[in-house]
Amino acid sequence: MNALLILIPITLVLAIVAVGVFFWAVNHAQFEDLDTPKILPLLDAENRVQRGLSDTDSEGGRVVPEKAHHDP
Amino acid sequence: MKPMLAIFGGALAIYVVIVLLIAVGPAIDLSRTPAGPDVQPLTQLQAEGREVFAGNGCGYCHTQQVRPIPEDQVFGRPSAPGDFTYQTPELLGSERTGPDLTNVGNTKPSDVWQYIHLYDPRAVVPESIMPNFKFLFRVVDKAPPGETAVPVPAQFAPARGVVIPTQQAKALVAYLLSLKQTPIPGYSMNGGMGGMTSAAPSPSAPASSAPAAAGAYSYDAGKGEALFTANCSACHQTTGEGIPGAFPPLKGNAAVDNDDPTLHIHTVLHGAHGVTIGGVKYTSVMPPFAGQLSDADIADIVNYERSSWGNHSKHVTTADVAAVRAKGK
Amino acid sequence: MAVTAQDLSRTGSGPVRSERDDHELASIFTAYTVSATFWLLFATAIGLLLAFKFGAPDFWAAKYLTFGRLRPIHTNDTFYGFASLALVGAAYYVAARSCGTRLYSTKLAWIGLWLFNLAAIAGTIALDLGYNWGDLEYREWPWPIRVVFLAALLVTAWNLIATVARRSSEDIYLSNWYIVAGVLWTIVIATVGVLPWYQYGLGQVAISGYYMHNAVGMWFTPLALGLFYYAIPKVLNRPIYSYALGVLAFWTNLLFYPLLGGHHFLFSPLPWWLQTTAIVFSVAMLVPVWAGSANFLLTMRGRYHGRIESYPLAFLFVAVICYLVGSTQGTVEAFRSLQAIWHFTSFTVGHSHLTMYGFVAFAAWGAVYALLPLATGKNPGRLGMAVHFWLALVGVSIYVIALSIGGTVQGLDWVHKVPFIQSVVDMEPYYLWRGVGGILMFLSHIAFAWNVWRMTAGTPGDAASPIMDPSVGKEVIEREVVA
Repeated sequence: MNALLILIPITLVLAIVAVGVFFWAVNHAQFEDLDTPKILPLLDAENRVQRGLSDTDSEGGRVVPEKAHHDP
Repeated sequence: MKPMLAIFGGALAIYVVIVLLIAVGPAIDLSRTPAGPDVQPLTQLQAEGREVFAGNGCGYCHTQQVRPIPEDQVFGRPSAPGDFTYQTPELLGSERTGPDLTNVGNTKPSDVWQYIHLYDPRAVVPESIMPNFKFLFRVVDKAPPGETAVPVPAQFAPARGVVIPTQQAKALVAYLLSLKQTPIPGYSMNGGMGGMTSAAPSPSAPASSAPAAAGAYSYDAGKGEALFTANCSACHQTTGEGIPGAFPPLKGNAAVDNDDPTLHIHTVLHGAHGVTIGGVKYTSVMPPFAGQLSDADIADIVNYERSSWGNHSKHVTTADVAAVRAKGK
Repeated sequence: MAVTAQDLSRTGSGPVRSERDDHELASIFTAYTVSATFWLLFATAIGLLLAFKFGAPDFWAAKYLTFGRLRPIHTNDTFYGFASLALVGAAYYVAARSCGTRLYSTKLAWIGLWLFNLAAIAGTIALDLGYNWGDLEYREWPWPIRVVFLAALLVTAWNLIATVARRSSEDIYLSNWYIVAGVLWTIVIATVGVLPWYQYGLGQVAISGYYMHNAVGMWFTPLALGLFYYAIPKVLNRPIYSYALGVLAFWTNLLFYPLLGGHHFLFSPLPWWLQTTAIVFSVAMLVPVWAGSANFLLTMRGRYHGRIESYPLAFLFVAVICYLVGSTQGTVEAFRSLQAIWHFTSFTVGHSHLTMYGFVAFAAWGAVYALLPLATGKNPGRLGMAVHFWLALVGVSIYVIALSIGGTVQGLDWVHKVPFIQSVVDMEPYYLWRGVGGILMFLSHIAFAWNVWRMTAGTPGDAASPIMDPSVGKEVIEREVVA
């Protein structure tokens, strides 16, 4: 039972730290854009070929150009 | 999320904190667990045997921890923290393809049995699927001075020559025989858990003691056979014939097939060592069962032995066992 | 349209990648995969022999072939030889490509490969000579060998982090979170496992519980998930269903997984609070497991009828299902009432094969079939992949079902307090079925080796590009959107 006397304060501290980190992340726009990174694996040429796009046509389809990012 | 440091550094830092709290911290504390009463460090030979045990992976099929749940009772009392003070590296194990060995030094105290079993497990346990450890033995024409040949039963023995244990085998057996639980008064089911477990109901345990308490004992052949198989057949074999030269037969045994049960009951209760039976002197040790089995259980075993393999002698009652027990050694 | 990697590399995007970089990346991926294939064949041949020994214990019982020495060779070489190398090789490819850059250092990757192999070879020899540190699952190697493995991890972490630092986009794709963090966590695990100061008696038991589960769940799981997040969208030619769900699974996995190791020592003399914590977090693990699995399955939606047309996807699909089922089973096994029956029985061996084989090995194979052809420009044969897939799937199913039923029988035998030997006798048919499953699994690995040969040095096979036509299944999604 003595373990609880240590564990409860530690847990509380950790929970406060976790909430603090979460708010930091939100306030620093870490969750602003969760759509752009999704397409990173599909930017390679082999996917564009399958989609019937030419190599130079990087704006076709739903593929967003690799330089597209939104600064906070 | 974008900054590399936030993702990788954060993930690493959080992990380190958790590991310190859940693993390293408790481990520092637990490493200081004091030894339980009478728990001794291993001797040099036993420690050497422990390395043979680990090196040959015995721990992958044999655990060395008894849990505080009914099914583990056959292996001894629940393991206590103080049991492991001198156990580094720990050999608690994770699989029980073979039986737990926590208390094997008490339940199979005969080095002869251990040697035969290592040389060929099927010589003493026909159904065993343990590999043989013949590479821990030498076969020589004649035992050199100071060495004792292992009395391997003829059908399992090499065609010619005798079997001598190597130093490794001796160390391993010394280690196995050192595995003895020390008694902790009052420490039994849930003892180590402050009573916090909801122990599963134990279906068979009360059944065995209830009739005994009422004094209405009646011999149960099925139960006698099961108890015999669990406790006696490793040495005396299910055929009751024992292993020639190693473990005496019960079939036609003068103490068993005798209408006076005193010696028979006394031997089961208190064990035996260095006795001569039927003109053969046996060096193996028989463990005492007084501490592990109730009077009713012993009566069942004794009666099973007295009415099997052609033996026909008078059955005993719980009262007979209690009387011999009362007289002490 | 036949497209080879050579065609593609010329058009490769990103400012910092040349044809030569692509070629070097392909050779690293190939070398790791070939090495992993060797260890797969070796470790599972040993595993098959071990399965056989349950029925014929006197078969090859000589000193260097005895069960207890081969058993840790099987597990350690599967872990540190096969799975680690296969996952790291694919992870290098994923890290470089998803960051739109080249690998930071080809040389470091080669050094890492040699160190991983050196550790596995030295470990195998040490275990066979009887130098086993103490039958502690997955850390049986003498400590100097585990330090070599640790060095391999450090080299790998350095290389991966430096590669991600070179990325062409600002965002770090989720795969890299899992891969890099997985390597960093494993450095911690390996270090904690080696240091001796807190590992005496029961203290070492606490570390064993931590180590044996974290070595699985903070090494193989994050690496395999990292490959999922890249290979599944790649093959489907469709982005992951929800990036946010992936982020959630990442952080919850980190917070919950490290705390559950103690569930290997329920009912042991370890402190009661440590055991209860492990059970609580075993349940909490359902959050990342179900979030992750749902994410992968939703990414595959609309393509189910077509998944057999693409064997890479089929492997990844089985891996996702086994991740879901195996991890959920792990949660269930952690409950005290069920653990009282299943712990110490063969049920746990079934569980470890469902997860390490059904999940991790299938994930590694899926990633190799999905990505290695893109790297080398050579596809395997359809028949070869079909043989591998079906033999492995049927084999592991037989294996897991047999040991799950057998383990339950074994556990119930103990509960009913029949003589112990009865539980050994009752297991006999299940051990036999385990051997049957094992034979099929081993044969499938020969097919895998053949496929690896065709994807690298040999003549390419007839399989189509691993990347599926994006129009397949599109109508299903559009229907969902309209509804």
